[in-house]
Amino acid sequence: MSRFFTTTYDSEDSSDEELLSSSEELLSSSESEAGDVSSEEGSPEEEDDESDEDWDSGSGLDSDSDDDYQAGKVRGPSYFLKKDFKSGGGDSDSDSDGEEKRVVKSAKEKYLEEIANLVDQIENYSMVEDWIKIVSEFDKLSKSVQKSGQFQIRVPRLYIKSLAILEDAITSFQDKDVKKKLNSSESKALNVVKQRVKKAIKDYQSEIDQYRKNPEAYESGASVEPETPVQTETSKSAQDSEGAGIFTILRSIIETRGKKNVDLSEQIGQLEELTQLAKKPFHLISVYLLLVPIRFDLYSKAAFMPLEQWRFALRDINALMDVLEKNRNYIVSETAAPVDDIETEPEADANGVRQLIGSIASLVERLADELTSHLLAIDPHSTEYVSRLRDESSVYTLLVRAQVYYESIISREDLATPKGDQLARVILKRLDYIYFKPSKLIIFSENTVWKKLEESLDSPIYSKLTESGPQGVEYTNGLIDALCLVLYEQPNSVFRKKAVLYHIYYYAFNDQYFKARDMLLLSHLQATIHTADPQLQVLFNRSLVQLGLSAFRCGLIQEAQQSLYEIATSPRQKELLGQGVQRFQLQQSQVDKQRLLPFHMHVNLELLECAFYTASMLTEVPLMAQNPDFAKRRVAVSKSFKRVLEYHERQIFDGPPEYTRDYIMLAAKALLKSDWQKASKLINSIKIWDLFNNSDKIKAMLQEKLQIEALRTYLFTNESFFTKLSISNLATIFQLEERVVKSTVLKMISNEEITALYNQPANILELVESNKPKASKLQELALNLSEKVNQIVERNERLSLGGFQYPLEKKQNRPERANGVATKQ
Amino acid sequence: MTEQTTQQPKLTAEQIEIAQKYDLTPKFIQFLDRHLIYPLVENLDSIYTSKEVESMEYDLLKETYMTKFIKEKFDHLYPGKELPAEFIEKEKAIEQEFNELDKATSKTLEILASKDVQESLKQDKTYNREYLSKNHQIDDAKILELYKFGKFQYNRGDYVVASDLLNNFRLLSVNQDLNLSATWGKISSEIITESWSDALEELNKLREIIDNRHFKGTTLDQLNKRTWLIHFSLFIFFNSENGLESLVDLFFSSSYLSTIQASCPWILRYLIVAVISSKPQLRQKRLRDLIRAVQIEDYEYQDPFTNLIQILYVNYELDRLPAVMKQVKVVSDVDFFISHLNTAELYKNAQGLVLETVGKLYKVVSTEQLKEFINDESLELTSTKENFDVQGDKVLISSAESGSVYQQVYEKTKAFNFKTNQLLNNAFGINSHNHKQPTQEA
Repeated sequence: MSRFFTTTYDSEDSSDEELLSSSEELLSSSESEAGDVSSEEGSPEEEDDESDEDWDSGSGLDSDSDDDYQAGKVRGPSYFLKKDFKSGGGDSDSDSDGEEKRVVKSAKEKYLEEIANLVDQIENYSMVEDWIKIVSEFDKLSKSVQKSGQFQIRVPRLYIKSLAILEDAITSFQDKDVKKKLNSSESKALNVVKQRVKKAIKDYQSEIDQYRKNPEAYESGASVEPETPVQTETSKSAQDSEGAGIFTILRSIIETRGKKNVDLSEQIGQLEELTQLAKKPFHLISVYLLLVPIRFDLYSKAAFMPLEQWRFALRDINALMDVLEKNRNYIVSETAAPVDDIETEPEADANGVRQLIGSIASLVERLADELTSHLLAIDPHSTEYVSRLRDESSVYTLLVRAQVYYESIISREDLATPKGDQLARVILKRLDYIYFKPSKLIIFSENTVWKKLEESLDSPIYSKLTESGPQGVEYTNGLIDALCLVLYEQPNSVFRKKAVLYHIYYYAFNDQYFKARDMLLLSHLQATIHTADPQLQVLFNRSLVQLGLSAFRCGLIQEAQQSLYEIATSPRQKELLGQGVQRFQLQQSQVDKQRLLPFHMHVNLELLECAFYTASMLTEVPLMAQNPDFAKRRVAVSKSFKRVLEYHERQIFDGPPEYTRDYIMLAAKALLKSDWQKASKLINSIKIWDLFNNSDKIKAMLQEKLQIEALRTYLFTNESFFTKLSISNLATIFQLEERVVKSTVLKMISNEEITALYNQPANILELVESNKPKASKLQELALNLSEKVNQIVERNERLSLGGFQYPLEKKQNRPERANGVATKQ
Repeated sequence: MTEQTTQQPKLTAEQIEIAQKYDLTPKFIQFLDRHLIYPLVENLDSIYTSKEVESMEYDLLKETYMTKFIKEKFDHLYPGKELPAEFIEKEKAIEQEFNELDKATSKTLEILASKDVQESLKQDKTYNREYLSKNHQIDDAKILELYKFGKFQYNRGDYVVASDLLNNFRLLSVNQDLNLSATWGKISSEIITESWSDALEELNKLREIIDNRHFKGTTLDQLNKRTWLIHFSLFIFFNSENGLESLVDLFFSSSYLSTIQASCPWILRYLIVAVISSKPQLRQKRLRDLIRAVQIEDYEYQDPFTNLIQILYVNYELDRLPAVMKQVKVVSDVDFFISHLNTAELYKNAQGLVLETVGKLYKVVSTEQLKEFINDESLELTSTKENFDVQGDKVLISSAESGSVYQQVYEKTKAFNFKTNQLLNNAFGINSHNHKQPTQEA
């Protein structure tokens, strides 16, 4: 037929090389043709395009397929034949326009044709080893193959075939003793092809293996498969016209997905009607799986989704969950096998369960994200914000529901697989809603959730709150532990990192400081966090701040100061905590927005500042008293505190304190004079402490700390004026127990902060007057130096013993070299 | 072991309470083998009634195959009662299994023990396997029987035979997992039969596997194995010569210290004991690491020993010392491991630490108070420290003069040269031997 014509024509008209290629091609392309034809259900026009294409390749015309058409029309030998067919084909297209089904077919066909053409081209070029052209063709091919998803079909078998052919060509080319040298651009192209093919082969390894095993059968497999759905389709549509109608609409909508100038709201209307019509679970699920994403698409460009639209989406997802919960023999999973035709119901597996491709997880995630972006858009101090916030509970309910659903279809062993990934995502979102809450609130929301859900539902990962089970903090600890444990098992490190940070945040926020601290230390996140993505960094900062505040509440002042230091003194505080953007940034990029957290999740910055400066005061003031000479200061523990204090001291008038910071600075001044009563009064009158839920206890703790630090300051400043100090006297001055005074003083002696000794029978602290003159500056520096050197030596020692592994080779070579040098001498 | 416990004087009610409070046996149970727990439980007879101890022993061992022993215990506990029926069945089953395994392995063992086989075996495992399977039909199944029988014998309480069998198995098997488990079995057998040097060898083998950089299991698995290893090692370290030194080295190595902190903080007690018993010149440096470790774990684990360290080096609440010292004494007498040591010596060392701290901080202290601190009425104070000067009911302490600045700098830096050389040796393997040799040649 036409093929015969073409080839003969080619062989007549082309050079020797081309002759070879085309005759070879005759063999190979006839194969491919068989594949094409069958896969396209043998439409005649297809064949013609093919031949047309062949001709082009023979003449070495390099352009894309549209041009090929043109060229083919003008120059091709089968010009007439083709035109007839083409016009005929076009007619049939226009004829069938009224029938939407036809349209779908031809779009898909066109796509497959395109691929077939490209594959042929590549095949041809690979014969002549024209690598430069192969590169461009292969690029096009890969691009169009990626589109295969749009047509709801699998990766075309032809593509697999071309991969195999290319791989062969490359290997044979390399095996050959290359006589003709490639010029630079050619060899470059060759390399590019090599790499791309390698990569593609990796992706489709199993298919390629199949093809290699038996190319013929593989291709014929392609011809068999599309036919079966046709049969079922017809038989089904005969028995169930309602379903056919639904799928006609669904198809036409799928067809337009991602295209411009499509009226999405009209489509939504159509689909909503369908939800009323559809009766069979398979139909309903299919409709919902399409409807919800379109709802989201409608507002993808807007800043947020309007409230009622959001509610519709929520309702639809819930409806979908209803269907799925009622019909346990249908499963929606991301890992289900993709189908060529949406109309075919997937085969039931051994348990009679049919798997549909789709993702509840991403729908729920999207819904939650839309809520967040809406919250971000609303003024947080308005009533609207509060009322919108109420929707959080319905999202949370949905999340729990989705989690329970996934738990029912995913077994414990599958957690680390892509299937388990969906469950992990849902759990991560769920954690996202509870990790920043106090345990009482978590219990409250758990209660509402399980009340709303059906009674028979329960989560195997962590059972719902019952009377007999653990209560209070114990329950929430268990809940967070169980949820995080699932995430820890994930192969994806982002899940694990996020989970551990949520975990730390939760424990820190709920006053379980040591647990949180150990987790942070064991996670080793500090070392790598600066390379993580911004969202994770923000979460890390938040956890760190909570940890610091938690330490502060426990009275661990040093630790609190250390963890809060970096964030509290940063000028970009808000940005670091995801609570605002930098002022000078004019345009917010999408990434910047993602970093932001809605207002109700914010850490109170004033509280943070207050805790930090109070902690700094407690550590810094005694130090200042100890070394009044600033030049001799050992380490500036907190420069920012000192700066603020100095600024305060420069003020001519001391007004009554207004801001938190004023209170603290005045308290610091009082503390410097060892006036703990005034300091404690000032600190305790700071109102913001009331934000901590046990503020009275914290105030009492602060007072005791102030007393002790005042005692220390007193000793430092007055050391030189006394020879003896009665412990009981000190105890009355600072209203501390003698026991505490004694241990504080002894500690100072032991740390060589003061030169004194304790006289136990007389209960007196005897300050030793140093009889020798104080060390000169030089001597002191020398002492310091020796101390520092000592530290270096010790550190090196530790390194050499274990931590640092000198490469073994060098270790072995080294003595030899030493020998060599020595003998030369 | 039993001798010591019987020798112990009766404890007062108060002391028993202390001992019970700080008894670590429940914590140890999850990290030791049944057979190894037995001596620990046996040791509890000073603080619990013998009836309680016996019932614990019965519960502990009723799952093992030591039928005779279980019978005895049962008779003691429930005199006049019949043995449960399932027990008799089990006894029969054990008997049968024993006969089967015995028959199956006797041939193999005979071959292995025969002289010409012994001579023809080499270092090479693959060669040995080939040789045995070719000439004596000892294949993998036969070798596996050795493992099974070894495990069985261990379960029956015949540790010497078990250790032998497991050793034979290990020499021939190439199954890594079973080899590891055979090593665990062997170390337990060696510990129970008190052959400490063999046990130490096994311990090192285990360490090699667990600490291997390419350890096959998960990190959690590694952590668990280390925890087990730590608990097993206590038996060995507290019984062999210089064991405490090795204990300090092992437990202070970073991976084991973090294991202790992560999963078994109570081991700190033994670390503290080991540090206290170590030589004075080593003690200072070790104390620093120890104090840090104790401080970190303070919120999670406290016992008399950690309290002692806290008081002496962290919070200086010396008023609490008398009570803590009393507890230290009781615990060191009762604790299974510590009581193996020379407790008097240990206690003296602890007192030494107290005196050291007192000497550093006090100028004058009453004799009475000092005696309370160290919980020792009869102490001859004059002999304790050279800078303690007893005058009537007071002790004057002359503080150590800190020398001139020059002296101080000298003191601090004088060891540097030596240390640096040592450092080079450690890091680059240039030892003095290598340095000298060529020069001699030249």
